[in-house]
Amino acid sequence: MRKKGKTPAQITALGKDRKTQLTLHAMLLPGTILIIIFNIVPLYGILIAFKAFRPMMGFSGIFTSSWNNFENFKQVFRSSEFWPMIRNTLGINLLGQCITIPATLIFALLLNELTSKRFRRFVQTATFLPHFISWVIFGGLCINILSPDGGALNQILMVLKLIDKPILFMGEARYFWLIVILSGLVKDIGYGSIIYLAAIAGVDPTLHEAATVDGANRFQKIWHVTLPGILPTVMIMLIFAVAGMLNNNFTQIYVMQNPLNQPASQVIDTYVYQIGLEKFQFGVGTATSLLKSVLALALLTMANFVSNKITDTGLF
Amino acid sequence: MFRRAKVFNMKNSKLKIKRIICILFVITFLMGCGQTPPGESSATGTNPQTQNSSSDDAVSATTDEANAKKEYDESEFKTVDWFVTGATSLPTPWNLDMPVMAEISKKTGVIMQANIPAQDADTKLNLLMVNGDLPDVITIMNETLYAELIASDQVWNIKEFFETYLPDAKIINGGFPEDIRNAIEIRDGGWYSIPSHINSVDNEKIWPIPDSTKEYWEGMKTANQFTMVLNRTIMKEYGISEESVKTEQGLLDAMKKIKDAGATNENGGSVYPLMIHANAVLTTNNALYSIFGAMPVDEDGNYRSEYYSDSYRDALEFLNTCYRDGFFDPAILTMDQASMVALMNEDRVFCHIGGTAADAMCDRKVKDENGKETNEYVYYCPGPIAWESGFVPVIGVNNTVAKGWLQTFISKSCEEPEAVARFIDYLYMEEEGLALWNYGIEGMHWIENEKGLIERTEAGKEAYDNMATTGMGAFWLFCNTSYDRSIQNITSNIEDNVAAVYGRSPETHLYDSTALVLPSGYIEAGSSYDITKIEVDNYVPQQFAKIVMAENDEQFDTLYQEFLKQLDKLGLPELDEYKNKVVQENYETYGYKLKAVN
Amino acid sequence: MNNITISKAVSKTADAIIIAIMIIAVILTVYPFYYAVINSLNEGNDLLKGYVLLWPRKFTWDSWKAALSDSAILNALAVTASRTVIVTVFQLFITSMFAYAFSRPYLKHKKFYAALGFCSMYISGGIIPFFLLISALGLYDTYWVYIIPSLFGGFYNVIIFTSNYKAIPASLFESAKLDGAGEFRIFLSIVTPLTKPVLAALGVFSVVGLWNDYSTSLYYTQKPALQTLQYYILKLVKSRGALEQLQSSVAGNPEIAQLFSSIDGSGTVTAKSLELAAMVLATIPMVIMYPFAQKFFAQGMLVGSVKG
Repeated sequence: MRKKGKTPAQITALGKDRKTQLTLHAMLLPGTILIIIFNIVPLYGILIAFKAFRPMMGFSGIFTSSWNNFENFKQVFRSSEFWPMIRNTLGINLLGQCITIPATLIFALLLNELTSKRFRRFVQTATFLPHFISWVIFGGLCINILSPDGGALNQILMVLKLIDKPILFMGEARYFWLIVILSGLVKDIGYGSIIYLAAIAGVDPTLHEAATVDGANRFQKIWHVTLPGILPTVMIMLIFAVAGMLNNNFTQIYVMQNPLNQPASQVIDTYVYQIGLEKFQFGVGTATSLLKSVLALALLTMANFVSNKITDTGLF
Repeated sequence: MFRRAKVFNMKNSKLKIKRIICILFVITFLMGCGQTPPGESSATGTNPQTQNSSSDDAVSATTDEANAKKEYDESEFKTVDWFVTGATSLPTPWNLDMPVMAEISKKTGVIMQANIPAQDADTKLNLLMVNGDLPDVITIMNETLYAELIASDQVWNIKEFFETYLPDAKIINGGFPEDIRNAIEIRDGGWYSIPSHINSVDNEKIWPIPDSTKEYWEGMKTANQFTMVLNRTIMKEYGISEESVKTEQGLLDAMKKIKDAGATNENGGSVYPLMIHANAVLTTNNALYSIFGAMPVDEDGNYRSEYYSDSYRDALEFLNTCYRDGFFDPAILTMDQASMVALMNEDRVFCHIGGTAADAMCDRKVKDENGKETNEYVYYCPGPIAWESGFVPVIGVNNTVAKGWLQTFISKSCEEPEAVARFIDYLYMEEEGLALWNYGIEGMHWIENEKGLIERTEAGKEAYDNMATTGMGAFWLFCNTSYDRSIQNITSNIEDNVAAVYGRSPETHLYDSTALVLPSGYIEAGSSYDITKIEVDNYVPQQFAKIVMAENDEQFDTLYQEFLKQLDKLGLPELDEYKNKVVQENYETYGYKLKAVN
Repeated sequence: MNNITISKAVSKTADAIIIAIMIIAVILTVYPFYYAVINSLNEGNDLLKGYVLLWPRKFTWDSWKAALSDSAILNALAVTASRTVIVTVFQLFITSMFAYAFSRPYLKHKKFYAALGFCSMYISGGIIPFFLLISALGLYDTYWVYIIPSLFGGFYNVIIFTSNYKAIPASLFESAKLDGAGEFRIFLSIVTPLTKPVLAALGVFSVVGLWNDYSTSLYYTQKPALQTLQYYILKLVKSRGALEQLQSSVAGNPEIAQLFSSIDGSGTVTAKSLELAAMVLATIPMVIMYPFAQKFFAQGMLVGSVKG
């Protein structure tokens, strides 16, 4: 039963009317207020990056302290380890995402293919667990497993006759990136697959039915129905990954660093921690965050542009 | 119709949702308003806590009189907000059911509400400082922060504080040693904080050490926990005598014997001939400097980093020899402290060079064939080793403990200054208070033995083991080391204390390191000197690993030269010169000059 | 018929392989948790000799008992649980509502909201102004500091919601509008049920994130009664880590170091075993919660909801 009738012509103009616009803006209002109060108002703190501010100056000090001529920014660049740091950060992230995103996606797809509901729930919950172990514990466990002195991995490799002497995995810089990536994968594959599972669940079931009717087997269904269906989600995750190229999991790296693998393990976040937080160098910390943010936004825009061009989906 | 039916269901769910939301709101509201810290409720006991001005007058009237004997009633207790780092065992919240805390409150009229941030405490304090809203009392250990606090002008000058609020306090009437006070004033430009672990010549005059324990404390004065220890159990098993390892060659021979024998402990785990905490090279360096005799000055007495010394090179050569001979397993460089300590506790380490205080690793005793404990400790310190190079070990002795470990500042916005004054003076300066927080209540937790020293009872020991609950022994910020030394009952021998062996040995060169103490904040955070320091700290562990693992003499030389060159490049000589300015001034002030031996 | 038999065989092999992969994945991911559990059930002073790998060397429930008997942990649990539930519910609502409006192509001034959103996501003023704000709003050291600043879920979530909303066929909206439904009604009655999987996924992220949060307690509260569960556990960890930091300072004099060895405790419960026990116990509610959300990830659960 139609309450109010509208002609097709009126339908196309739907949404542009005042009432709809008001409702929409009202729906945006609570979120907007929260963003403005808690995200936009504190933005004046960016000033700290450009000034010689010390906490003892108090609140007004943020505005009255002197401009320090980009000293805070120069500090990060001044490090003699600057290029190795950048290389490690980008290297770990690029290689990491190349491995992690496909692995997580495939894991979600495979999970979805399990026929037994109970087994599937079990696997989901089980793989979800490591996310809750702190990196201090998990990192310690990894170091233990990789140890040449009775560590599980070396034992297994020797039993399988793949090597004849234990390898000091944690002691070689060339293994470090892989260790970080793979340990991170184990820890978060279950948790990270949640978003893909949700996307897969959201694919229109009628499309699957239609495919079955057309005689498609399960792989074809995945390739032609599921993947295109979740493409927007995958692209979004990719874009965010690109934007996050300069960030690392600080605790994980900190726990696994040692003098032998340091050439491969010093990243931006660990360095900034050393010169920043430990010495209340709020200026340097803020400057680095600002730099990273600007770069991240730039990367985001670029990645979004590419995504729109290639797959016709993107963030905006 | 389908959609309307759906809408109808949605309406039901909407109602349900609305109801749930309302319930949640109510819960939130209740939680937000009704939240009283359990501390307050248990602290009040039967009487509700009052903090109005009438009791203020009553209390301040009695403060004018001698306050040592006065006892306070629960209704007069004042709560003080105390920001604490370091003394992590302080009970939170304050519990009046525990005898020690109850007694402290009775005697001082104070309930200490300790706020101990789990981490980044200094950041948090900075935030509070920017906000202009410091907690009543602040206990911190970061030197840079002292300067910030003082410069912000938000903390009391200690003398003024006590003169205003507790003029009879012992702390300004002879209880606080003059020499420490002078040192603090030099460091901070004024007396703004109360240091923990105070120990000095003047303080010893106030709290003299009894004859019965004099030898022990003399030995402790030159104690250094960064030293070398050997494992007696392993030595006994492989027939290595304590005499034989006192030379460099003897030590290397012993390691060879152990390695060749494929030594294992009782569970079959292989023994590491040499173990250092290589993952924390900067810490291990302290031991290397001491054992191989590296001082931070050159032959002319100018400040010069130990990295440039011949002794450090000698240390690296020794470690390299151990590596080439197979005594030094590279895996050590990746181990964390916990793993290392575990190995030591399982008798899988023969020789350990580094810090020895962790996890009481040196507290175990040797067991004889019947499994009974003997009187010998498993890990012992062999004392100075006769190195081929002839270098003698060194220990720097700092006679004036000016820094203390924890510093307590009183905020100008403190709401209960008299209460705070009483609290501090009682627990820090009064003999009764010191005994109370350290040892508990006389009779119940401790007794005085024939030597006039304090001995804990069983109840006292148990309470001390649970200091986070009982509060006994948890007030580290008020540690008065000289007092401790004057009444502590020592049951162990100074000879058995691994940290003291080098210091007591005549071969060790002891030097006065007071002149090397830099004023806090001397190296400004963010200055080029600071960057140098950080970069050097990052660089050394990497290069250390490479040098120690050099395969032959040429490689060693090349890597070592590279090491020195890079240090120059990072600006270490300039940093040394900067520090040297202060050191030269200190030589003038203290009237002596250092010279590098070796 | 042959084709079907072959493809059935292929399918069955594929099934077997998939199951095998999943079993390996389960072993790799469950083991770390198992490791934490058995070590928490081992005597604390025995842990000093090294961690156990397969089964406790010296079994004891003491650490678990100690973790549960401390009333502070129960209080922390109440704080964390209540905060998690309340914030997640409201956050999902406000964020999805925001995202819905944002996703409408005919929304005017969209660029303003987009700018606001991306700015908030990537650029931050740092901790100092935020702290000052919290203090100025009177939220410092109150229960509300756990609720109010977190009520908006972040623009990241908005983007995920938006892309899902955009995928809903326009015909649904048109017919709803023809029936006279307003935007809000459409949002509640049509769009929300259709996006249950995403709501569940972001709900899980929200719950887990809030459950694991300790930094709010660390910087913005003071009262012990306001500690969250993870902050409480962090305190246990850190009081032990302090010794290791101390050793690296030259002023590590033996008397001070002795203080720390005394708090480690001897006996069956040490700081390490307690930390492990608390960590394991804190994870259990999450393990219980997750299966409920999993229902929403079953494919085909939306059958029938799109018709109309």
